[in-house]
Amino acid sequence: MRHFLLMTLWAACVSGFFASLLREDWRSALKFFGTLFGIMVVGAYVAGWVMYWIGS
Amino acid sequence: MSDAAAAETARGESGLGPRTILSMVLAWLLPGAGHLYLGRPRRAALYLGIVMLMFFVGLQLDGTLSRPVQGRYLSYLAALADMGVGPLYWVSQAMGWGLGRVTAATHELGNAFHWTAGLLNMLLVLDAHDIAQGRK
Repeated sequence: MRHFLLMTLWAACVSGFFASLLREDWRSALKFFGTLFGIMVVGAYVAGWVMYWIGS
Repeated sequence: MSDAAAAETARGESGLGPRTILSMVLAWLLPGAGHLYLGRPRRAALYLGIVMLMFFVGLQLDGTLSRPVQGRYLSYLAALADMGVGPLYWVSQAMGWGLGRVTAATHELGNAFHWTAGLLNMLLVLDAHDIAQGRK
């Protein structure tokens, strides 16, 4: 659980950084942040499950 | 294009004029300082917060601040990524921080936070260059 929270923190930092870097206006930056954050968190979760089943 | 960037370009300094170089050096010395110098204080504060947070979380997670080790070529890349955070890398080394604990469960996560902080700051240096050149 702690690893998942730390991964979420990492994803939030990176998403916030790139949203600010690549988008000029506040609204599109927020949308970009949400999209990127969602992809990273959900993607990591799915990849974790896939690796769990492959490994067992 | 801003007035200062336009003036720099008009002087034939579209490559690396003093304003561009100064903004890039400031951006490397302290995350966000280049953006502050270029008149973007909100973004500067955000970048400073993100990079510092990632760096110090990395220290808390027992991550190692990598040093180049002769013959271990990946260590050069790791050290380069860590050095991207600026003088804080050497300050931390001098203070004895970032020695890491390889047996800690969060050691690799700590390394990932350190590397990311350094690499993001390198992107800030490039972004400062683009802003100073009037490309953003």
